[in-house]
Amino acid sequence: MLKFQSKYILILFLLLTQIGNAQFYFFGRNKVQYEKFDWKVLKTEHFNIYYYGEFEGLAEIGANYAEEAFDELKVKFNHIVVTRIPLIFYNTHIHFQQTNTISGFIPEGVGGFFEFLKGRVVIPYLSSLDQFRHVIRHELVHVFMTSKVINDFKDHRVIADRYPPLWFVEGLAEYWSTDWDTQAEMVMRDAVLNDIFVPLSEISRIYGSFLMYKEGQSFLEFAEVEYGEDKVLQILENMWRFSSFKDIIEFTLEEDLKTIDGKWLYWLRQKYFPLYKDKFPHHIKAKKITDFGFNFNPNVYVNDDNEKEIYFVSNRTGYSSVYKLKYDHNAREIKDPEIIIEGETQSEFEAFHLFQSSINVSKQGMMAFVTKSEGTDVLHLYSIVGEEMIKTFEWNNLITIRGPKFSDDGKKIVFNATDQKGFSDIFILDLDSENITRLTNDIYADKDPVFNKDATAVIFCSDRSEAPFKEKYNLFNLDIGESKLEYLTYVDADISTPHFNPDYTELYFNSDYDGTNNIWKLTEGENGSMGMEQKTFFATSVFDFAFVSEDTLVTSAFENFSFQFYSLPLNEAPDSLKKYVAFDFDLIDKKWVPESIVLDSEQDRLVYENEYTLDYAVSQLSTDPVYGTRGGALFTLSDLLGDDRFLFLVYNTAEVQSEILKNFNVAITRVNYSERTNFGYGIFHFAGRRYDLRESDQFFYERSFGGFFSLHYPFSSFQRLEASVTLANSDKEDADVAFFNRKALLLTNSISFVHDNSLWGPTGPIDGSRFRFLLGYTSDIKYSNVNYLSMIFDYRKYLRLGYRTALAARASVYVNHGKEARRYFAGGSWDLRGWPRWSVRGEKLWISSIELRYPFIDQLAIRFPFFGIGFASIRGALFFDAGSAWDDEYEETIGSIGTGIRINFFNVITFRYDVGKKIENDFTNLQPKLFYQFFFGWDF
Amino acid sequence: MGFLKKIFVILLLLFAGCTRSIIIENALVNRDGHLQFGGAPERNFYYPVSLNDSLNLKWVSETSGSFNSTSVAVYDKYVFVPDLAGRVYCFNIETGKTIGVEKSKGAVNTAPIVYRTRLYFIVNEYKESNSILYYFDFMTGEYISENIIPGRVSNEIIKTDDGIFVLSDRGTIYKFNYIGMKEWEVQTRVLTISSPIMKDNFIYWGNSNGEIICFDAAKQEIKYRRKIAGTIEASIGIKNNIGFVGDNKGRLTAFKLVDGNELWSTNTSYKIVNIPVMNEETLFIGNLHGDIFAFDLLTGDKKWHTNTRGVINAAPLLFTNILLQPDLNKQLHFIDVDTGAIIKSMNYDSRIRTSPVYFNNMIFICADKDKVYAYEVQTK
Repeated sequence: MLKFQSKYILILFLLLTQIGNAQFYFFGRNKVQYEKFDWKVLKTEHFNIYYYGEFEGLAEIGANYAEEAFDELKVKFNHIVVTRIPLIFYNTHIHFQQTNTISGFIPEGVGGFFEFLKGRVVIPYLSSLDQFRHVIRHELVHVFMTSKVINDFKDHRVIADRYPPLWFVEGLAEYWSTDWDTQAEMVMRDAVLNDIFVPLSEISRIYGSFLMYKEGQSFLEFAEVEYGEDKVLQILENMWRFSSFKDIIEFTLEEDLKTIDGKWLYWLRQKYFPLYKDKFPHHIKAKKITDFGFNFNPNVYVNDDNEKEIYFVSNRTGYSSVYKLKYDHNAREIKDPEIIIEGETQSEFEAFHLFQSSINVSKQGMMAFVTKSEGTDVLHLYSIVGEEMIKTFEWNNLITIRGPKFSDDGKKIVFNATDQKGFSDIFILDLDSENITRLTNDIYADKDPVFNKDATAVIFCSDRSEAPFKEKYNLFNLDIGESKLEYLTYVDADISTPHFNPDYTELYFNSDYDGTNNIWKLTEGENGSMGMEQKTFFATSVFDFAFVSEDTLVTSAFENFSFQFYSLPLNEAPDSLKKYVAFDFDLIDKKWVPESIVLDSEQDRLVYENEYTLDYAVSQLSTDPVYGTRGGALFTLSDLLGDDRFLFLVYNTAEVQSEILKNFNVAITRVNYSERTNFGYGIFHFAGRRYDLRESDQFFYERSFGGFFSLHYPFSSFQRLEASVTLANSDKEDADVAFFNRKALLLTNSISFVHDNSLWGPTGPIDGSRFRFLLGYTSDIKYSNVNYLSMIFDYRKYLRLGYRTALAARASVYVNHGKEARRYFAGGSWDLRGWPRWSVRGEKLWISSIELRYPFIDQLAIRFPFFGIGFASIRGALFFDAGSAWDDEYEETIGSIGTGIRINFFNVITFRYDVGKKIENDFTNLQPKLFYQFFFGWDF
Repeated sequence: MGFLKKIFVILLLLFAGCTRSIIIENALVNRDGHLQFGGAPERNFYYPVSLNDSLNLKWVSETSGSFNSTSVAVYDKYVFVPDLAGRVYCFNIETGKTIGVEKSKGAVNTAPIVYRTRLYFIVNEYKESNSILYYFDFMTGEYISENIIPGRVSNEIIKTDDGIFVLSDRGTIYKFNYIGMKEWEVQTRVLTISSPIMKDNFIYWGNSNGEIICFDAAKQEIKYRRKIAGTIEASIGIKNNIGFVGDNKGRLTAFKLVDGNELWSTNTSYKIVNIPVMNEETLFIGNLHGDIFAFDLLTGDKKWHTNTRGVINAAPLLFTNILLQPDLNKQLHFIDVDTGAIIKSMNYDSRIRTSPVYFNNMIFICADKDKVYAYEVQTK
């Protein structure tokens, strides 16, 4: 038992010293630090605000938002956070994705996070002050809630072994950070009207989903309305009292959960069912033309055969890619689109911004699309006619690019982009000269630009709207020649995605004026005033749209918790529903300017210097009658930004008191992620009994000490080079076999190339490929007792057969050749299935596997009288393995064939159960009986 | 020998670690004290003496858990301190030495009351939906009786010569006598986190519907319930025949006790949870935003306003010259009654949680990290 403990501490340490991020495992993508940030610190009354580069202006505004939020939240929580809160700002999401404050990858949809360990709040600026304020407030609700709950546990001397469930945590953060907005309304309308709504008693079914967040927010609003304003805070204040959150809810609201659920659903139905009086589902008023994945940014192109094609971005395969769909309004069946450019598998197209406007097609057959490529967004030109990439534009000072739109003649592209200051402004690219011109340059968020017919003006959405509709996104017209900016709309609503009709005579756009995004048209009223006329009347949002003809649109719309395309006849709404909203430009007041924090002195504005604090520490002390008392500890320190980390490992494996000094195991490692090239170095001393896999399962005593240095250079998210050098003095002793004793001063050099663009399903990769090629050399530079060459070639390819079905193949060769070369081992559930674990050993090893991975059971629920258990995403496999291991002479080829099931638990561990037959004796016979093998681990 | 020595050390540690029950065998009956929250059913926080702005720390003692926004109770030479770990401690008033502890599984959110040689306190039970009112005789160290109260009780107890009044968070008011019998209960069925206050046999409180309720304790019936504000979590303060109460929106309202009709109201902008305190002319009120206001008692005109940058959720003590205001932001403020100037702020290591209690030229206050502070003060 103790042996395992010591060993697992060592394994944990070795994993940690692999510099944490995915690139330091055998495979895995890379979290690349493209930028070296020059961090600075603003010190306000309650916050230390970390920012870099030219972001100071927005950091000061963010600081003000944070202090405002602090003042409000201390009132809401009846609580004050008495320690300074670290608030780390990134000027864009792309930079935010490079943060080292957490080691995992940050998806596009994450707008900030509160990191529990050091109490850090990490937030990107997403080109909108309103959103910036919202995210700061949202994350500070997490900070206050956590502080309040933990303090309450301390106050009551209750062990802090519980935390509110995620639906409550995120629901509260939304509820107390923002008003009920269009997005929340859209999601809840959809959930209630389409019967997707999940009551609290079953909310684990939608754990972690956006619907769960919004249901949480909705529930808290309901609880306040139905049960009283104080109830939300009381739920938190009663956390100490019960272990189960259900008990807390029932105690606080004084009703059982079933009754509460019933009242909540009734409250929601009262609110949303009347919508059907004058609003429609998309599938009723329009024809659905896609049925799978999330589909955005439709663009229509009429080809030489006068056929209409829709180019768009979708994640139908799991990767976001550009697709082409033949448009046919009259087709009975929904057609499958064709992939034009596959994203997220190579560095040029590292990420398509699925939920953002990122693609446009010109009449002339040119497609412009935006992808993330290394440290910035780039703009690609693709010829639809020639089916080839034409050019890629990249500007170092522009980090994110959005909303490219061609001029009518196809010679210019207008887009909005974010610069190093965080400003989101409008730019024009002249395709002939390849020059760009900046049209706006200020703190206001400008987005979704389009040219007018002759490209003399740009129409765009901006939050520069002045009071009384301050910060609302209205439409503006910028005359390029005269640099004259004018309001086109002025309403108390947000406007987005303007589009001219095909002959440029009418301007259409989205607006949430009636509660959710619908299509409106800019029009002139009877009295000559400008206004907007509602053209669609859907209960849930239209995200974007494109004209197929003068009277038909393709919309990207939200319904049934899915984003699909619909073919929509325009101008078919009944007259009784038509709505006209006139703009009153006389209301417009003076220009709004965001307030910044005012610092007392320049001493509160500092250059960041590493501030190290403890991340975690674990220790263990065990006593048993065989091995005596043993103990160990592992702890890590890192700086506030996570760029620099120290790992310390101390444990002792002495079995008698006299061996304590001799058996001290110590390792100190430093790893640094602050730049693109990550490095690590350290020293170690390991001593104790070792289990020898090499020969005959013997134990021997080994003492080794030395140091190592490693470098990792990521070429992109998908490929990297690794190099390391280790110098270690290694002494082996075996009390029973004297000749086994050996001394060595080992120098090991290795270099590896690693590739990984795989896409993962619930139990392992289902698309893409993974590859590692390693060359190494180990030699005893003092006694010449050890001298061998290492080579590893491991290639894995995953062929997608369907959305959830894949054929996986592996070909691996491992070679150690020379004096005292280490043996490789195989056998067991991870490679040669059916064969005992680690039973196939040799200095040379090859393994080949083919596996069909398919969905087996999606949901399995077992209900007992008093509780239930649910299992999701149970996957099946049919496999064939072959391989062999040998030292000098090739011995035999062995293998196995069989089937199995895999179950993933909480995305943490996968259990595997295989049944099959071993193939023995150089593939000449099958094992007479079946083997049954149960283990854990991801698919290869 | 070594083995016996180890056993002895373990036993000693166990013995030292065990807390003893509160037993005060020589307790005297009918001594002075601060026997309930606010000292009296009318909740009095005003002392017509002048306070010197220097407090001399006499002792610091520790409890097991932290504290709610309540206060300690004092009887003769003993200080009784309720904590959120379900304990009531008894400290010697002169030395701070722990005389005994009564332990229960739950939290004591409100100040205990003392009647003769008995201590009455309410425990919000851990993992149960009830609260329990305990009757404890500190002369014998025995529990005399207990009464179960459904739901949570975070409202302060009223002690009169006639009995004990308890208002549960569910809005049910109970009367218990001193021998452990429940005499009656009346339900209002509205969430109530507003400690009751009593004058002339009428009990007043607010509720989450924004109503003030005047309850006739003699007739056991509601005399009136009138909506005058938004959700009320604060206690009503009484001066002469006028009641004052703040609500969750920060509005402070003065009303006639006789019929609940509004006299004046004013806005402090942020949630008020603590009781207003008054001298003869001025009302003082703080809110969760850290604002403290002084208003004219009769007209509601603002006399001054100051902001502490903290959170005001516990009642202050009012002297003729100084408002002694605890602040959750780890401070105790000395505020000039006439101008609102913060004369001095004492900084603590942790959040100040309870309302200070003044008795026999001593002030008692409790803070997070389980600290009970006793100060000697000079008044004139």
